[in-house]
Amino acid sequence: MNRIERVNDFVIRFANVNGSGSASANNLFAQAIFRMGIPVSPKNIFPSNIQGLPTWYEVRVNEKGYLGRRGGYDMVVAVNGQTLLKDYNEVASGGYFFYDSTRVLPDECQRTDITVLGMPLTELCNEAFENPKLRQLLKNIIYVGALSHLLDIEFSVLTDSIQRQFKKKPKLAEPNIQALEIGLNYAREHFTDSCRLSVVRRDLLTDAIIMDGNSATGLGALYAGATVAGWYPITPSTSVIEAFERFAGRYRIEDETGRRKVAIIQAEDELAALGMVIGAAWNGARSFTATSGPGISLMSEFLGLAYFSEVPVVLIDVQRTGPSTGMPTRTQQSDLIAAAYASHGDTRNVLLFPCDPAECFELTAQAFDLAERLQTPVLVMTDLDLGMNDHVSRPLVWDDKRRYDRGKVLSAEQLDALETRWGRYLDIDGDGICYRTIPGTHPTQGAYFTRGTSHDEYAAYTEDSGAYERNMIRLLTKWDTAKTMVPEPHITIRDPQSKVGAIFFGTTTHSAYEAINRLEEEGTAINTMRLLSFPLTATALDFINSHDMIFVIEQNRDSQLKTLIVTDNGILPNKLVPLTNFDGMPITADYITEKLEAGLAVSTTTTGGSK
Amino acid sequence: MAVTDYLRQRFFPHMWCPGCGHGTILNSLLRAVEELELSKNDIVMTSGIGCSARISGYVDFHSLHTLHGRALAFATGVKLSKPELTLLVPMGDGDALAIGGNHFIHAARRNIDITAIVMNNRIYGMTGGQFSPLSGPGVKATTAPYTTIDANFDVVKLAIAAGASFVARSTAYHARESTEILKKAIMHKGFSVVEILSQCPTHYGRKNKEGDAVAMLELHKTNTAKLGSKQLEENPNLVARGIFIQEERAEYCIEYGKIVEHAQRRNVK
Repeated sequence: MNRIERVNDFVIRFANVNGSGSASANNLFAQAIFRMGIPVSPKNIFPSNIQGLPTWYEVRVNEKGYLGRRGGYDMVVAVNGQTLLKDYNEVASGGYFFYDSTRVLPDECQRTDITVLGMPLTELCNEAFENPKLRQLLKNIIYVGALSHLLDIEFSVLTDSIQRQFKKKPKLAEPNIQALEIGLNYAREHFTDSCRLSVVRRDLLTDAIIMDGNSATGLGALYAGATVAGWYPITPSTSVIEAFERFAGRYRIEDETGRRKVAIIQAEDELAALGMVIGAAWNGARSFTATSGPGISLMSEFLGLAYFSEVPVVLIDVQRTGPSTGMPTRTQQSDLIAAAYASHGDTRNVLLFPCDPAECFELTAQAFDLAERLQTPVLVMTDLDLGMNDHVSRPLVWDDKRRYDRGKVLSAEQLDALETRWGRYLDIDGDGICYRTIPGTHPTQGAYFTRGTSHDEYAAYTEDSGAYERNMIRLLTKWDTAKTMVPEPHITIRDPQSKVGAIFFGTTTHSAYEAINRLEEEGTAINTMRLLSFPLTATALDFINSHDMIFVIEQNRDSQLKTLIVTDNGILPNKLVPLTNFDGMPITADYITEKLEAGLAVSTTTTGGSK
Repeated sequence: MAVTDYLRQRFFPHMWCPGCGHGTILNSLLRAVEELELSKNDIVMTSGIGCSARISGYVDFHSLHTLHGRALAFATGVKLSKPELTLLVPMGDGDALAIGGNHFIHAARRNIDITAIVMNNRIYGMTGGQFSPLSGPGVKATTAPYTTIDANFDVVKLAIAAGASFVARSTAYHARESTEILKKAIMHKGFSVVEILSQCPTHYGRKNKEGDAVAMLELHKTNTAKLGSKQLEENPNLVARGIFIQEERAEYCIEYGKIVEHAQRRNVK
């Protein structure tokens, strides 16, 4: 048997029961690898359930820094009887299957191409610990101890983590460390040279952090000066607001009074949530909401109001698998069209696409400036994978000299100094963005009537076709202005002669770069553009115009980004080749590689060679 | 038919946490259906989103798992298209009265012949323990770390005021009583609301120091008393259980049939 033999480059999958305390054990494992300075990417694949159903936790270790999903499992740790057989069958040939041998393996388990490592976890745990509640939790810690031997994880890193975790309750640290030792000692005694996967300290992550995207997003909103959040619970966006609340408790305390200067309102539904946000924004507060696909559907009506009456709002969409209720605990990038064109009538909304926690933080903060500068809704499009899983990221950075861009807001003095009549929807500068006032700025001037009905330059109700059309065309001018303000794409030209390109965004980024680097190593250069926003900037259009065949890699069925690019820019659809994955799992580098190779082969046979 | 004949055991294990009251309510409901000797083919169950809403997956009736808060809208359509069907709509507290509050009061106003079962555990379980419009003030939740300030709806009063013609309350502890009430609710011609207090040891119990499932069940027993009982009279702070209103009133589908007849008669002339 050819055993898989690799250092700092493998994928391990844990199969557990939801709500059995496995999350903290698996997290301990991933954190240890991070602390040894090796890039690591944990992904929690969990059911729509609180306790009892199967759940998996995938950890990719890769010292080259490829942290998207790769595809395949080199080792499986199976502690869930419900899924044992499936887990057994999914181990890659030459891989390792670690299981709780307190119960014997079913007869169907007859593979000869994998190494089976049985350890009586339940038995060992029950011998050592009395408390039934603790037993359940510590059984998971025991396998982490065993893995430290099998994979050469520094044991002190694990014990340090435990001690740090239970700093305030040192009594709880004791049984955890004991459990680690039980696992380590059993593995040492029974598994000699059984596993050829290993980790070796590299210290590659000197200034990197590991955190989930939703926490970074919540912190971004806090740094951006958000004071009001209206929201309704929905997986997978709930933790954005929870993080915002947590960070506000730490960083948004008024020195003199000790008061927390923030209002977070749990609404009765998503419609009300966005209504509250628009109300606060109209009144001058920086306010936002966080939701997922079903919430976008419900909020569409209010998004149209904010677009047409030009109230700045920020909306975080942590996308999940749709349509309808879909798969609430699986990931997708499938709200693009709904978000970009939310609401009836002609509407267009600005979208931002972060790909890691640092960008969740930065783009969320930037969204508030853009929303106020452009006086329009700005939607930050993350997804379940980015939002709820931990990701290695460059650190979050904030320049204390940075000042918020409140956009074109008239003060009382400016109103007094005006020589001509002020019009809320009068385009003075020719950029489609008009001057607004915040209610109560001036005792007698600057008041206007905010409305979702058709209005003229002075905010008066109108059914005059000319006035209506002027307003709608001005909103298009504003859209063109947005194209000069949204973040630029990241473009990598690997070969200036190559006419083949690829476009992707968000969490597709990591696997896409890995796949394209693989192809480059084999001699095929694909130039890449990672989009950070919709609409596209001039630079982004140049990239598209200077390539003949462009793969658009995204995680939805209908090539939604391709549709947006084609519709908004009049690009010929044929040159954009869809490469989609929509199974609800984060896209893998193996899948992208395979599809790119197939796509390139077709183009070579039909055109007689690229270029 | 045996109770198990009404269950889709192929979808087991169910997704509720150990100690959850929802399974007991499912049990009470199935026994009510069994004792009424209803045919599976005549029952339609629609539900929304949340822990409670998953009940529709486990019953072997015609069942629709629809949208958060909107099960009553679907049920209304089903009922109007075939009024002879029995409509059962189990709902969570957030599902029924936060996002679904509007549908709830309008279904009650129409007095359409649907049985709404509010499985009230006073918390959003599925999303991790946020407070609901039935939590009431002074409750701890993830979104109320310093306790809630929101007043709660009284489902019984709300349903009566909105026009429901059968309104009752029981608890997961009082499983037999729930069955008896549900039987009456299902047989009642009009909009029936049955609030059944359920326990969520995972979120509500843990945060509010109410102990494990057994302790929480005990609270259902000690904190409630039967309508008209001496116990309730002596301690009005107890939550009343029983049937609050049961009135014969114009039912929507019947009235609809009458108006159709009326319109047709006019046309004949």
